[in-house]
Amino acid sequence: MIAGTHTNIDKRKKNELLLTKYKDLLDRTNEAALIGTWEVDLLKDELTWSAVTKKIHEVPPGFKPDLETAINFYKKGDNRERITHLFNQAIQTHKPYDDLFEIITAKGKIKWVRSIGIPIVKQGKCVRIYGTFQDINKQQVDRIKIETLLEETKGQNERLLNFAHIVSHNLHSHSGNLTMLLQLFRMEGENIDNTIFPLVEKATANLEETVVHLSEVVAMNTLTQEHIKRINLLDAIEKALINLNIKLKKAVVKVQIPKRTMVNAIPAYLDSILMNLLTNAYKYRKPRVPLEIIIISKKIDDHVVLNIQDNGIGIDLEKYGSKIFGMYKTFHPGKKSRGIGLFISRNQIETMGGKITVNSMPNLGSIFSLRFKK
Amino acid sequence: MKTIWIIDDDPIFTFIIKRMIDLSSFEHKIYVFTDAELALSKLQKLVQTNSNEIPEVLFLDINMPVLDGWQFLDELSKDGPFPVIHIYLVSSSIDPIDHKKAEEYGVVKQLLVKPLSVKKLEQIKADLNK
Repeated sequence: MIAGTHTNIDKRKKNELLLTKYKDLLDRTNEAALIGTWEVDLLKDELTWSAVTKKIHEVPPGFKPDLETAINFYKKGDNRERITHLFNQAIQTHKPYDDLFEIITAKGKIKWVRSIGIPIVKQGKCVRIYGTFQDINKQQVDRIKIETLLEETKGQNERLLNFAHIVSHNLHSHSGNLTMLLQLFRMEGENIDNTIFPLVEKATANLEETVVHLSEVVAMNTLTQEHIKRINLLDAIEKALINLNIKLKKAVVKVQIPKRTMVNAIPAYLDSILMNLLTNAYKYRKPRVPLEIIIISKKIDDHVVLNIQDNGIGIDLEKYGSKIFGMYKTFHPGKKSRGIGLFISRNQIETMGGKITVNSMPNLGSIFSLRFKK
Repeated sequence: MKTIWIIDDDPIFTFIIKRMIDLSSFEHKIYVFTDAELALSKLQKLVQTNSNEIPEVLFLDINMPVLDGWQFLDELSKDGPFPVIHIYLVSSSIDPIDHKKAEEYGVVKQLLVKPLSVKKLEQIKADLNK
């Protein structure tokens, strides 16, 4: 008997110790997470705040809150109206609430809090409401900062699009007019056989070319992921080959792509990339050696990789590797290189969530690999 | 006499293309419109009466205020079967969206990107007789 009692006391003591331990742990967790608790006894009209709740309100530990003062901590206007409405609703319709508010602490600081209230109903009547009160000021301020930043970025993006339009349309139409006027002048004009006129023509041609580059670069920022569609890869390649059939007439082109290979791509970008790579293969072919192009696709996990291989003059990647996709980088003197094609192709494939890589050996040829999302 | 219509709000460009057509082997009468709406209502009337004054060739600028090139084509196609006209869209933009869109408009023969040249006009002339 006695031993048994001892065991019981021992067990109870152990449980009490365990409870104290967990309560302590919970308190410390709540303090670290800045989560306070509160409770309203509606029968006795009594409000209790936990230590953390008091800390969030910046009131001394001995502070005795009542419902009215508690509500008055909420910022006047929308915040106070909202909490009053939600609290009354919890009493009357027994609906719990969970919302974000701004409060003004006892020290006059504005703080963002998350307040949760849960009504306890007995015999159809709300007798108690308890809940948590969490200081989320840091998160909220950060969130607002990010939102403001996002707004600003959106605005800047819009201005960039306007800029793109001005460059690609207005600027181009002026330089185009100049080019055409000079052409007319040469056809109709007399006395143009001086030194200045050819220079004006050259300068205008340079201007025209620069404007074209500029508009290509800005145009590539105007399409986004929203324009991505499912495209049949073989169809796209066949179309590109038809467009280039004059240049590739003497070339041997092997295409090994399963008929139903679909990729996620922006149609205009895919066309532009294929045209660019195939034109490059033609442009940098070996003299006196028939051009050979092999186009193969393979599925790797959730990607489709497209390889375009040629037997052209190749690029010394050890020398130029890191620069090959850069702007205004050209590697073959004498060719009509503009140093813009691969730069644009890389940007286009990256906009589509893909990747472009190259493998090349001088005098052997190049393999360009495009990675698409399947 | 067969006619060519030029619809473009840029007076410098309309001057240039008119002069280039003069220098080429075209023997068409040239009409220039800097107001696309005016051109549209005139063309719609000609189409309704199936007039023989319907132009053979139309150079249509894409970027115009009030009524742009695409809207012009949309409005024109509302009135039933599309008249037989060689339509060339003209633009100074190399925007890939424009090229894609031009492909979708079956009535468009080609999207020409400025600057044009007399040589290019000669090609168009040669295509007419095909």
